[in-house]
Amino acid sequence: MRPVASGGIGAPVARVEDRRLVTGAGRFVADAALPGMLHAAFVRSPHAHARIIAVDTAAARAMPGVHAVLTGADLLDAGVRPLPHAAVLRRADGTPMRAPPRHALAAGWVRHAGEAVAIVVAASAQTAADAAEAVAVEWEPHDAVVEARAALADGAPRVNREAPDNLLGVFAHGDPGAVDAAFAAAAHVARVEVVNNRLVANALEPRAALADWQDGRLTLRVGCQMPHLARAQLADAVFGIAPERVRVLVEDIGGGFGAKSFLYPEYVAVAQAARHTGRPVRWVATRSESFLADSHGRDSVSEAALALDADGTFLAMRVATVANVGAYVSHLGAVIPTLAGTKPLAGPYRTPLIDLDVRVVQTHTAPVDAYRGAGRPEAAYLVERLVEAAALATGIPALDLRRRNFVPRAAMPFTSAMGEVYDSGDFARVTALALAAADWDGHAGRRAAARARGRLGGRGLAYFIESTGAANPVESVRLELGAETVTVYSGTQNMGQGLETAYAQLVVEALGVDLARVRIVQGDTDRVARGGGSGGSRSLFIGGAAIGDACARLVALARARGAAPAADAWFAFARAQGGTLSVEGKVKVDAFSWPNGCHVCEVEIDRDTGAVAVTRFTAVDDVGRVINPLIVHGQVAGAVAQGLGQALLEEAVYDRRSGQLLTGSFADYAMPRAGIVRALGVFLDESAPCTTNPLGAKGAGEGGSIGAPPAVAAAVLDALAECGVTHLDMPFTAPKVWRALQRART
Amino acid sequence: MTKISFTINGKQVSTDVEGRTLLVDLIRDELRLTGTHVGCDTSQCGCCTIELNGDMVKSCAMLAAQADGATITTIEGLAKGDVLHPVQQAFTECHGLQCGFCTPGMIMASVGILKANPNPSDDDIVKGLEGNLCRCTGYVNIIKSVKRAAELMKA
Ligand code: FES
Ligand code: FES
Repeated sequence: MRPVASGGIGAPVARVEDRRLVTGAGRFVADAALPGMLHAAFVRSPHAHARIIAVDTAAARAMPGVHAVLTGADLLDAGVRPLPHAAVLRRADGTPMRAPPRHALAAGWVRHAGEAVAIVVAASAQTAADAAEAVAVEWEPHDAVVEARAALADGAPRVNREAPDNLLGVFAHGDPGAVDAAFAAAAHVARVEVVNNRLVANALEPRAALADWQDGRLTLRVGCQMPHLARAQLADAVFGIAPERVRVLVEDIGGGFGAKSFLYPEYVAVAQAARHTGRPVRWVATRSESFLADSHGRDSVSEAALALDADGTFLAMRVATVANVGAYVSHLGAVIPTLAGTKPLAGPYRTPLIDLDVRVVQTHTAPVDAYRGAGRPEAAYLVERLVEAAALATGIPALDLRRRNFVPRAAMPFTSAMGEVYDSGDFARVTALALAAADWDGHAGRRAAARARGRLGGRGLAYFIESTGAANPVESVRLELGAETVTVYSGTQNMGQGLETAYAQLVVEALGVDLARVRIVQGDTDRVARGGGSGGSRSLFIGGAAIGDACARLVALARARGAAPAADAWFAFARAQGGTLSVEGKVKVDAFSWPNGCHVCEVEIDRDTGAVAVTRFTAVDDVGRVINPLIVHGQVAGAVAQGLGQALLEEAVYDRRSGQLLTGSFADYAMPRAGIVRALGVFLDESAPCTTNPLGAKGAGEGGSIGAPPAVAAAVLDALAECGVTHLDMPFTAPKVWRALQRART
Repeated sequence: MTKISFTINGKQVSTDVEGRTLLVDLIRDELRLTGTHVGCDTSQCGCCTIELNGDMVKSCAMLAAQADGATITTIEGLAKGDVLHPVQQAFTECHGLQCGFCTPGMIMASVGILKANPNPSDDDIVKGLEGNLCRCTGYVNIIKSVKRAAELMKA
């Protein structure tokens, strides 16, 4: 083993960002205040689907302390254009997808409960909230539809005039004829139909924005994972001004998880309110607003079948998915269930043929966009449920089926049936490590002990592989060597995942300087020239590789000047060179990286209440080369907890008739609490580093939310098998499990 | 408007408050102690936890007027100059935070747990943190941090 440089790659150093955060000195948007600042509140639709007949703002405007009330019509008059989205799909007839325009404030129609209709700006947040109550909207309510399959039915309420059947677009892959032939020749066929439950990201920091529009220039402070994208979208798409006239400033972000990646209607409205009033305007979402108006995650139903030969070799897979994209297409809403989420659909298996059909459907619900994993959890859940079903259909244990069909390490690089190239991975090894770490064989004893206590024991395993890197392979950084410090300017974004520390470690590794001498600057489109932001686990292996490149260029520059400084000598070198040296580092990492892992879960179920307890959870993840094991362990643990949340607790539920969100607070939407996982073992296997980027790192941070749900599902169904329960959909809440037990009993 | 006086982080404060003003809003907006966070509107997340007259309370679930005469400590009042409180120290050592938004509340709640019980078991900690949500960490390192803090406080 290579010795770990003090604070360099592989060192479990404590995070440099912690000090401000543990002392209350973090800077979140809601903590910022500007002189003369006004406060905003939104008037939101109480209906899931309605026409706006009239908005009467007179009473609100007349209230003392109210500075302005703006409606959708006001924004249109001011030339504010709708929010952009990636329009990547085609409809079944080959025409391009056309979503309804997503105005920052609804114009004419509202399409989901909680859609913003007007913004009120006042001297205090309380006055703004009071005045919002005084805005009178005359509505013409219409029927709503909230479930994707219901929305496809004849005569369903219409969301999108451009697509009367509510079918936004379709996405297909594979050769249906070849797949049909494989199924016809198969010895066994396994089938499943699974629901991937709708979730709310629920970063603990609610969204917020503080806009200041002075001298024709907008400064927007916002918790955004992709500041340069936000700038481009605000400038080009929404306000039609030059990008130099927009500055996006991001300080601390209280969790992002994908849902803070893109522009939101409220940010545009707040910016326009600042332009209109000439004063800084701040809005901080309440948690209730977050539930209604943040983009949601997941929400799809898939029917799938797997054809196997007599030995259990996978011959072909057929998948038909209906994905709910919500009332509007949020930035990547149409991409996630199609282009992005289906990349790893072959899983870690050699399955030679896949026939995929995805239908992306609009409903009267909040837009669905990225949430930790973003499409890849859906893929892994589906594939692993199918493998479990195949075990029942063939009588071959699921573990054996997996081993039989894994892509062997020797076959890397391997092109999957989805046409994706897996560069590295040793699935059999990682599985063996997981079985050992989880004491797989010891389960029988624990199960018997559970039984003696009147509880049902269950054990489940899942293997996942995910594509990371998003579709944005380029990252560049500026590195400044000064007389005292090294400063890196990066357009990726820290949001709690520890990038400030991991990036600094890369600089320590390359230059040998002290960790305390490294500064990482992010989140300011004025100080950082460009960047793709953070999402899809891209930052470390693309942004980090750019830092490596910058350091190499600095070393080359020094060499060209006849110097080979190391450690503190770098600063003496900078002083000798007259102060500050600046280099640009740039990389293009064309390939996705393929983190993967094996998760093993044990549960105990209380027969009388249906309550499921996760008694042991083991995650062995291959994230390639690890820069800071402390941080990566933390990422895995956090992601596992979110995966357990999806599997056991969480579900965003809309009322089918009224279209109202029934789970609109932490009292109704069950979040994981302390104790969600009691015995968690996290292990990192670095034996198969990524071959397609210079660091050898693979994306880390999403794996747990991908591996945990199918592992829990397998364990729960294993526990319930003896009672005759063969199928359940997440979340495996106590009432749902209890009902399944009662049904099975009768 | 009601006139109230209280002590916060060792400082005496007197101010006029509207009857409906929440204590957390007074602390954040008027006193500009923004380390105390607001993560919900139903008193479930615990981001706003402070110490008031020796008890850990959710400052979003109290009116400012109710704090008249109280002695309050917020996250900003925990460290002694540059020296972190053992709980702050432990959270840093054990990677007990990621985004840091829940952290001030988690740390205050943990201080409360340790005050009531200097040797808490995992169960005690899980129970003690029932009113605090964290979306990032999965709680395992938070539980570790509380145990580590217990050690540090004994040393
Ligand atoms: S802000 Fe959530 S409990 Fe106080
Ligand atoms: S560290 Fe982010 S919510 Fe706890």
